[in-house]
Amino acid sequence: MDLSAIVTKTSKGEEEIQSRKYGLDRNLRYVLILIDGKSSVQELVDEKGAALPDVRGSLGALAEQGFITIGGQGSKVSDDTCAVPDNQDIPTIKAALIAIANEVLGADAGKIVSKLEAAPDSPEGLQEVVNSCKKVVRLLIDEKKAEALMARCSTVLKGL
Amino acid sequence: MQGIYNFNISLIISFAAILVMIFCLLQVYTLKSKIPGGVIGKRWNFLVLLVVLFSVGYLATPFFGALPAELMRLIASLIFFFGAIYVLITVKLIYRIIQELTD
Repeated sequence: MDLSAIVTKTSKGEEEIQSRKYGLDRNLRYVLILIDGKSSVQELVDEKGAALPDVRGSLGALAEQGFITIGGQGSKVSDDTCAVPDNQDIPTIKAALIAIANEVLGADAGKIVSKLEAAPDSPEGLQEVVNSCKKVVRLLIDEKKAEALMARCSTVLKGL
Repeated sequence: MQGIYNFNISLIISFAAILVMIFCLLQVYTLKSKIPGGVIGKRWNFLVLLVVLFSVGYLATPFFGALPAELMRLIASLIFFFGAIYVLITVKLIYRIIQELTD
């Protein structure tokens, strides 16, 4: 796999995000969520998906199943595409939230990532920490990023 | 004798004020790096500017005796004015923080 290749969703990938038509495995789905059409394999593995398990393997599986193209001319991708996960285990959801925080906040994600890592492993606890993270981002980082973070995290938390 | 005593006291107070203001300046700059933006970050830049202004004003206080009375009054009134603005921004900032945290 070419680590510098840009990863994009195919129309099948977009369809899966919108409708869950293909019933993708949850880990694969989280990796699919992270794909923004601009990031390379390396960036997805080392940065955006750092909190998720075996991102490289997941990218391979997604490419094999036709959900993404690696280094190809993939279909257009919207930045704000979000997924609604099924009822899933809290650590995986937490990892997805951390990945979203890293993606939205970039270099300023440190404090928020720490808060999410320390969040209690319960749906209520996680929701409370996400709300508190939004306030911290609004006060200290950026009001627009706070809204973007909350919107994306809320979509993930709907699955709880 | 009385004049020298008064002069020393005011000079000591001026130097103490300068030291405190330099400490404030260090604090606002240190905190600035931890507040990249947001509700606080936006106002923080203005607060930093005011603290810099006060620091310059305070550094000039030991030389006030050498200034014409009219200019001295003008500087003093400017310090009062910007002091009032500083307090206003601080109070509004605290209000916004409380509002954000209690929403």
